[in-house]
Amino acid sequence: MKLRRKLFASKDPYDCTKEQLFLDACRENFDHLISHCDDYKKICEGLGIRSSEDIAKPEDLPVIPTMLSSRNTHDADEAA
Amino acid sequence: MVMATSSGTSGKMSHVRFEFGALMAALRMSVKVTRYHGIITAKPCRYIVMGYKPHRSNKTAVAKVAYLTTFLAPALSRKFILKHTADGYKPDFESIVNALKKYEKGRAPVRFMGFPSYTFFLFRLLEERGLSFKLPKGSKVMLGGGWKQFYQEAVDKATFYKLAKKTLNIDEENIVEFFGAVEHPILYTDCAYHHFHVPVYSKIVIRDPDTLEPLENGRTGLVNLISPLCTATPILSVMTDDLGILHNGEECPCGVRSPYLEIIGRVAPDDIKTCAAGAADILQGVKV
Ligand SMILES: [Zn+2]
Repeated sequence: MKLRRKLFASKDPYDCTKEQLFLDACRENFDHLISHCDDYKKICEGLGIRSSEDIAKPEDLPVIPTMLSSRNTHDADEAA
Repeated sequence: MVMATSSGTSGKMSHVRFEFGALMAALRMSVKVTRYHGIITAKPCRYIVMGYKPHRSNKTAVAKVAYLTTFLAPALSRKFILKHTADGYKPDFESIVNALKKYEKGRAPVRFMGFPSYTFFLFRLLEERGLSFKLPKGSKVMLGGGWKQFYQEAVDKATFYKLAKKTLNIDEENIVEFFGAVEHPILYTDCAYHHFHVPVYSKIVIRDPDTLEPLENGRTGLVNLISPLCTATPILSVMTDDLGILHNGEECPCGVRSPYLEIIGRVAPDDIKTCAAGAADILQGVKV
């Protein structure tokens, strides 16, 4: 999760120039999730989103209701 | 891997697992945000936690976060309002009143941290008893854990600020509020004008409740929270049952240019309690 590390290392917590880095970190996270969480992958495929290339902006990310997302966890030991 | 659990005071609990990388990212974020808002200081202070006293049976994130907050400045002492008993957690307002009588005579700033509802209830209790304290310079009220169940009380935050001044001599500028959720563990901290600007680590989209299409800033809709913080649980983009408005950052005179979120209510009104019902719950305590 190189891009996440870079995003969370931002010096100014309200820096408005990091939009592209934010989107790239979201794509990186998305690619990890669809390759590690079958339920998430099924939901995304149902919405027609198969890879991070289908995500042009953060609004395009599949939206999961909070109660559903927090019931589905998976191992991601290598994530850091 | 660490599991975090929401407070569940409304009966619905969420469990989210975080991997090591997410915890490290959260730590970096917390240091940057609290430093930006002047909350990290070297001056020792006394903490009054308007929340749970840590106990092995309590797995809630809000208890862990409130406790961690007491490390933002060196702690001379920590007092907790919610104490663990055989019947769950019970509030002990008297011990807080007695502590205030002692702390008022000292030099160390006092920092309140915890649920707005309990803090507000304490202010009202002090007012009813005609008690007011002149707490040492630098004292702060820090609020977290949300107003979710007390929207009807939260409507009038001006009353909260006035009571803080009247009962504890704490000015509005020394009242800081945090906002976050287990499913979206991003630290939102209000600015001097009490606005929750969106930090670089997250994005908020307001969606039409019927079509779920994104709405432009200034319009009311469902709050969709996005952050790449965690990979162990699919909380990348989550839909809450909160209703909110995203305002353009330029509308706030504080200088931060990122947009800010105003939560105005909840779609499911069954969790919302009236002032009186909320007060009854506060006295009764909570089970976790
Ligand atoms: Zn502001």
